[in-house]
Amino acid sequence: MKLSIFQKLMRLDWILFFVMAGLTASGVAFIYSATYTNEIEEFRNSYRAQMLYIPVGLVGFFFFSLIDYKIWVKYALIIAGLALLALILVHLVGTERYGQKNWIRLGGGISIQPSEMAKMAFIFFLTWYLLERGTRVKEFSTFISVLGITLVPVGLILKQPDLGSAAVFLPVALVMMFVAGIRFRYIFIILLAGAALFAFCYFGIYKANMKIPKVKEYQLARIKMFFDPSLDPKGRGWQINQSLIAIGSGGVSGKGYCKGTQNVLGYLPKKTSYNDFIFSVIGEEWGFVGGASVIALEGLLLLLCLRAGASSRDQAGCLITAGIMAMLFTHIFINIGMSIQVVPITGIPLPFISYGGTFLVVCMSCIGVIQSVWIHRKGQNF
Amino acid sequence: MNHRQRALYVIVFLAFGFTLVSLRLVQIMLVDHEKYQDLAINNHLRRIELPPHRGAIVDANFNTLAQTRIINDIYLDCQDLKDPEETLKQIASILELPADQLIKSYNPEARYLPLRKDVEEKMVLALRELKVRNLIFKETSVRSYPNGAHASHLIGFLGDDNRGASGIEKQMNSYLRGIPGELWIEKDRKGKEIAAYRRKDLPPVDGMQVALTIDLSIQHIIEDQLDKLVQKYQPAGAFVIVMRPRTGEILAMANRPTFDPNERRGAKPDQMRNRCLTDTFEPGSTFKAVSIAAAINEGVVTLGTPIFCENGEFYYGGFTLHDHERYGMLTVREVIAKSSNIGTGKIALMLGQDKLFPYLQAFGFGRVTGILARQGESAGILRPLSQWSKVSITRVPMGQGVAATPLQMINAMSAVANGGALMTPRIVKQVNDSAGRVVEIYSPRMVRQVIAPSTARMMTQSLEDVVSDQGTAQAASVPGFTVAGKTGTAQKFVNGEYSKEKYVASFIGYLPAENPQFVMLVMVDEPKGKQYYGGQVAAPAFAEMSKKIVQCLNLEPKKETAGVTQAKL
Repeated sequence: MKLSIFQKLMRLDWILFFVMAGLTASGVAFIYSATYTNEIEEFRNSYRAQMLYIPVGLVGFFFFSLIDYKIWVKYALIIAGLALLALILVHLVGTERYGQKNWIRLGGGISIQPSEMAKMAFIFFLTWYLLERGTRVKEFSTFISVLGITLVPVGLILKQPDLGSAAVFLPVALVMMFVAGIRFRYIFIILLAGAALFAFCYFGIYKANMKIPKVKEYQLARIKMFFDPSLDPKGRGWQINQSLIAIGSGGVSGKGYCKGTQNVLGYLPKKTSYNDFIFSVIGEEWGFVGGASVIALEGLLLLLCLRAGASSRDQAGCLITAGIMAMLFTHIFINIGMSIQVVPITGIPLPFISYGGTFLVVCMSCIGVIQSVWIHRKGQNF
Repeated sequence: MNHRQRALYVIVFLAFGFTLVSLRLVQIMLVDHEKYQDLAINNHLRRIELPPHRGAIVDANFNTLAQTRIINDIYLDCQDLKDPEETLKQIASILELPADQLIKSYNPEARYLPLRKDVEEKMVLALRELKVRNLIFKETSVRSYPNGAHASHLIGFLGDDNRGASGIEKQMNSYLRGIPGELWIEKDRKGKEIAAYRRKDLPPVDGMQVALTIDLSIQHIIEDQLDKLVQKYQPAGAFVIVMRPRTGEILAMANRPTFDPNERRGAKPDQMRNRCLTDTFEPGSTFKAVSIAAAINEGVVTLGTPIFCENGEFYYGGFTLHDHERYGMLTVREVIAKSSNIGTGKIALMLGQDKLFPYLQAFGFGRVTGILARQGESAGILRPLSQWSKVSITRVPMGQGVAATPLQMINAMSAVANGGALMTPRIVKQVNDSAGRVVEIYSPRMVRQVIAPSTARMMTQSLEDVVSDQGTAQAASVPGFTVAGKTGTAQKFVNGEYSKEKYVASFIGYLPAENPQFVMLVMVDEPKGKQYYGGQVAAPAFAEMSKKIVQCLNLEPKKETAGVTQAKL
């Protein structure tokens, strides 16, 4: 039985909607605070730009909410093909910004980041692929082929180079495989590899100062700086130190909106305080109360996604939800984690809050997909 | 494992991630908050300390004894100097330096080229008007003592840390130093000052002015006299203290050897010690006044009581006591005037050591006065009775076997002059803040009434005889005034016996005897030459200084005595 648009709207998870809306609105406020003293006008106007993207995001949200998510799985190959094309195009006709070539100008002052959209396409494609594998999903061949599939966007995005965005794909793939029912031992291999990588970073890169071909010097420096920010207190270590000082000096209740000395006086990196280091601004100006609230809201959002996934009528809904959750969680964890020295500095935005139009639209669309899973949940088909 | 179970695992995974982040947040925002707050403040606020002006030390009439002077030195940072020739010409004309010489010394590499030192204030202002950013104005504050060595021991000096190291500079450091101000400058990442964020500056509070009881004109008088004494007798040391008996105020105090606090380099600790406080001497005969006052006060003798002086030799306790002349029967009054050792010893025997000892303590012997705290003041030596030998009762009253600082001696005599009331010697009169408002006034403090006023009056009568043709210190007389006083000629105790060459000659006297306005101690340690008696060395100096001091204090000479003096002339 088909649901009318009205019925679908009635079935919308409004709590999830308002959590998302709340995070997005507060994001605009934080972006304003992070940029209002910036010397460059473009930065000062970024909160307005972010506001302009909200309606676009809402369109995406409702679009994906009201359309049955199954269609995305059905056309996953085409979607993935388009995304792939865009990722290749960005290397050909993309524009460079801060040493990263990850924008495609669409004209009319609008530009998009294909890497952000690729995250969504990847989730759809992987859902399709894991379903396609059917009963063989548990096998090692699935594991290997999924890793192979993951390498395609990761490789293209790393070439931009955008380590942060590339880092998201692997956790998404792992979580989706796990939910699809792959043997845990395969996942365990990856976790072991991750531990080995960490050990390599610590002993190889940090302690022994090894060089890795194809990895840029600044990326290695970021890893080293993670272990010891004092290595370069005026350069790369500066960012993490200043971020810790900003958040730590915020204390319980913060220094007040737009009154963070670290932020206002430019001790936080001015070019990234409105996206990568937005949590430092929040922590300094709103204190533990503000920081914990943001974390709690993001957590609540993820739990609501999980609820939708758990009540999904089919495996496709489960997998899509798992992928989206993994993607959002990775962003949240890495973004907040790097500003408090839990993970190395990686340029990655905080969902709904950081400045970044494409990513905002993608995130809102993702929540739209979750809403679709919720609307079309099982046992509610009359 | 179905999907729901797997979803549960996902929850565990999420919870792990969020817990990790939250715990870290708790650690840096709540546990380590203060550390990061300090770091944030250090980041954007720079504290500049504004030094306060150290307060001046002045005498009782507000003449400067110590002051802080700002010295302006001008330097030039030659790098990136715009239009060097023209600028240097301008600078040279303001600083009144030859322009060609300045241009010759100009070196484009030099960052700190000295132009002129100790520049006048108006030159500094004119230079600032030029608005040449390469000019470096260096301000240093210098403590200067306009009276040089005069009263240097009392005033003291500053240590290398600019804190008072001795004298009043040390004693009153907490008043003099002031409170540094602070300037908080908020700066952005590039170090640029953000005017809009400037906090309220805290101006420095200048140090307070400390007014002493010292009268600079009297101080000059005694310093000059000491110079003469030193020239004449080449002594190991010489001291003069002038006090006001009624209040215990020190009007002047000087030591030889001395030093100039402006030129402290090369000065030895020996010269810088305030010996009036730190060194002890056997007081000698001046101590007789104290002992006999005790006997009179106890009613053991009166001024008229006859004492047989054994014709100059008194055998007691296995030792013989001598007088410098063979006296027969003397009254107590004559014993004082002639300074008879035997007479004094016999009076003390009549009094007994148990009664004598408390008086010595009551006069302040064996205890510090506390005039300058923690500056090595000595308590002197007054042995407890348990350590007295059999002959002590005849020796201590004539000032042997006891030791006292010059300050203790004058203070005891001052008590006699003050009707028997011992005062706390005082050096600080009042403290004013930098705006001239009185912060603290120190009032006279009586320690105790040592002897009855009637006893003190009798003592004064006897001490007047000392300064007469009957006494040992006729040379101490001052025309127009009745002087009361006592000489002392103490043999120094060297290598276990009393020296026949080393003496301490002293005279302590006060005037006018009927209403004492000042008491003065003159003490010469080891005078060289034939003269070594207190009456010969110290008494004339006392008279010479007193003649000038009475003018400083506006004391009226007695009419009839003045007439007699004139008639004699």
